[in-house]
Amino acid sequence: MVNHSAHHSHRPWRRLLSRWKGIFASAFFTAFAGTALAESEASVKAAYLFNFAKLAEWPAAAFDGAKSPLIIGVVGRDPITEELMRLFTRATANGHPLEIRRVSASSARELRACHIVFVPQSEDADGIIASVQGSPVLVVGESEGFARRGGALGFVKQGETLKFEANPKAAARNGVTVSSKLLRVAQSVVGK
Amino acid sequence: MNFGVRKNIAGASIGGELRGGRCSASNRRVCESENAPPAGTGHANRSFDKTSPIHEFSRFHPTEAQPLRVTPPGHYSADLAVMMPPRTNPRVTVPLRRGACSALFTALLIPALPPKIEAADPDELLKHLSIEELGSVKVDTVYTASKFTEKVTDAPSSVTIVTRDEISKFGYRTLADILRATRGYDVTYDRNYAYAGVRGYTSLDDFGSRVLLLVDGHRMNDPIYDTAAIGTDELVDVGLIERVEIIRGPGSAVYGSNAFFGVINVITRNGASVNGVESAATGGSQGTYSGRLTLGKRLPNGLDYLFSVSTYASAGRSNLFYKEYNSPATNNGVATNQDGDRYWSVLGKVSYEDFTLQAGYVTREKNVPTGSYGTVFNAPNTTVDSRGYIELRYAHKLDNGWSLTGKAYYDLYDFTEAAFYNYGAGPVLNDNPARARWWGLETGASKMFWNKLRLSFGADFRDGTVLKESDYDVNPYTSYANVSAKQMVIGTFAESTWDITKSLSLSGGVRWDHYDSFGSTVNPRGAMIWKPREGTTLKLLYGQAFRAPNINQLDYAGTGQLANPALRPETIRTYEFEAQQQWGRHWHGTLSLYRNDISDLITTDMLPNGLTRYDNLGNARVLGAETEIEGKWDSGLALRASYARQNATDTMTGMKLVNSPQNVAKLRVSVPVWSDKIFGSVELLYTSDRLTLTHQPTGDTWLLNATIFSRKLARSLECSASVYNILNQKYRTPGGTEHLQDMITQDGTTFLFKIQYRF
Repeated sequence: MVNHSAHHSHRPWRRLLSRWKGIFASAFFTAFAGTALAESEASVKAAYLFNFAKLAEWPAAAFDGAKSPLIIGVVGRDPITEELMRLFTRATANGHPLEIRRVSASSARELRACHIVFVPQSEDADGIIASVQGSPVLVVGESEGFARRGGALGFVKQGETLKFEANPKAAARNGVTVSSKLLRVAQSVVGK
Repeated sequence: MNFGVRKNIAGASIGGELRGGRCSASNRRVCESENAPPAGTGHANRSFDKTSPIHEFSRFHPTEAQPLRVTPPGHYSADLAVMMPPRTNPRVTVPLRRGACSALFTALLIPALPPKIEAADPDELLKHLSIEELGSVKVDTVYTASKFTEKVTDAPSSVTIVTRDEISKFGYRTLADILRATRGYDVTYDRNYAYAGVRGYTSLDDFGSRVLLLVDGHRMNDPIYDTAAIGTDELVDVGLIERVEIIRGPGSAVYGSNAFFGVINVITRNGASVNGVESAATGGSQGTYSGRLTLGKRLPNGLDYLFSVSTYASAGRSNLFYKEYNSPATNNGVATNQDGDRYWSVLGKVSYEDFTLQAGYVTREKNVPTGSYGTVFNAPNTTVDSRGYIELRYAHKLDNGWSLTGKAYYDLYDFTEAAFYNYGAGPVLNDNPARARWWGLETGASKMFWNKLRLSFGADFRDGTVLKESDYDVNPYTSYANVSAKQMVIGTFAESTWDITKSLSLSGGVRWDHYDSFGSTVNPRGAMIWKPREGTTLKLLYGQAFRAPNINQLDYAGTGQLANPALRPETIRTYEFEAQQQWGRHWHGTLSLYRNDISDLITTDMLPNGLTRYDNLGNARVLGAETEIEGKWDSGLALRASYARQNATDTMTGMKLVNSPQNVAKLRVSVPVWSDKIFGSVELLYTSDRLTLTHQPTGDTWLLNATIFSRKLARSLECSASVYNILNQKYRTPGGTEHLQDMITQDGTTFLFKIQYRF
């Protein structure tokens, strides 16, 4: 008798459970999926640069061959250099192996030899943008309003995350095309 | 007749001696009056009840860009693609029967044992994140610890960061709610002010003077009372907070006075985050309503502006019973309609290139229902606190790598009181105003050398031009005190962080402060941070800090109270070991052991002639251990649990400190109920017994709060519903010496609805 009633009282629960299990399961799944990384700013910027390398297009003349390196130059000393080397030394972008260099702001020749130039906050953004003008170089920076000032891509903090502004016209003036995907992801598209 | 001191502390509050001081010396007039309650009711027969404050919560970020979230029936492939780095890894599809059991099993298993790359190496993951996913990676940095931006794990302090997202999801109403939920912090409320305490030390004799409160780096503690306003008197509406950086441990080596137990920096939103017009309104129990209107934008030329106005009114509890006043002469202990609270505040800022101009003002009026300072019980006693400032700051990076900062500001603080005293011939209106005006300059420079060594320097100057306190009866006019003082403070600091190897870094700093009152003080701090392997951080921290005697303590002389210009600063030495461990991508744990040695605490001294005076009398020691575990997922699921054990002793008497719970546990969970649109959040806060000033235990408290929060349900609309103290605990916190009540009853169950719309 006791057993019987105990049994009975379980049943509605079971039915309810089996109906809701699927919902719980998908709720759990949605909840637990995804990433929640907390990373250093330099490593996130490095990862962005790698993505920029993959999502921009240089004129064929900018490379010696299909397998020749894509050169990312970092102006002056910045922790991003170490992060790039640590994370992407052996990576390739559209078939081009990445090469990471430290370059000097004062050497236009060094700057123009790169496909991407990263301008740390401490460097003279306007001067560097001017000295690679016309060469197939994608100029990426992090100082306030970098893209508005004629850089191609500029990092901006948004809350606790890092986004970027894009100035496709500035990139185009150097002969570099930024993909529509990159523009879609950009926090804002600026420039004339 | 407040005798001038907003809080007139008598009896060594740190040792928790009987607060007999209330009825002698400075309160003589009150006790002789008819207003004095029946003898003995205040101290006899104190009932024990639940104690402790409210709310809980954590840091965690919403990830708005949740790419690739498509879940075809029977397959859970798309979500896997998010976890699994796209591109290099072909998307793994896990075909599932609709059978619920296996779905559940798989769902539970996959997060725990995800395939290949996910395995715990953040570097591997970072390499393979898509550009959309990068936009949701949290860049975990803190500014407040060292006055420059660094990774939280590199900061020479124990840090908690609370984001705007968490404030919304957990329904936090004030900074007090935020701190209550933070490991190592505690809040005491006496139905007028909320006081922050840190790591087992929540004093009942000040206005939060041992915590430094900053708004966007601007010092908020005023020079007269050192108030750190964290309740409804706080300047920044919580809806305007971008994040709060909360430091446990001393910060005097960078900030000077008040950065004694901790530093709280409220970072406000900018125009870009508002991007248009935002309006918000709340309504809740106790006749509480509030509204906010904010305009903000970043223009294409880079100019960013934000203007905001807020208003708040709460009728409060219509009837509050205090047994200490339970006599016919004092309305049988019931304060009727004496708990009202209202404020309005404004905040504005404009940034262009290297310059930011920011200004804010808040004025808040509170009815005081407790009959504090011997005022007539159940009379319309009110206090008004107004705080404002305007600041121009500058930040510039030079081509050679130096970053320079500078600021100039002008600040004001006004306090007035309408309080009724009865000297025997009926109620007399008394005012006890304080007025402070000060201005200051700050400058700093910082540079990283060879990618290894960061040097920072700074200097600041503060000049209190008007610092006045007085105390008088309005009619017939009788003056009890009229004090006017000046204060000049200069300070300079240097700090360096040296990365000796990739895994070991040392940092050290020292600051010199000079006050025209007591002279100079030098406060160093040092940290060794070792990362023996990826994901593990060990910190060894030492720090010294001080709190300078404030104007009220130094210069106030009124009825029954003497000034004491010979006061020295209070000092603290702290030793801390902190271990942090990241497990995989979702779990993070912290263990912290600390010892705080506190000397020369300024408390009220009872002189043989019956007068009182502030003196450097108290010494205390706190030994503590804290542990915390936190889990976070991009979907918004987040949980955090912490436990703290804190043994706080008055080293003069060997007795336990008052208002210091020995065991504190905090748990909170936020769950995405429906995709990224509806979140349910619950927090449970446990506080063990604490002692009142008469050494009565308050009892344990369990506080349960819950909030349902939704966004994106309709375009631009956010709304939430919160219930606080769901278990309806009748808990109490110890009353300060200005109260006859040994314990002050806190709110039972209350609720609040909030709606926000962006145009």
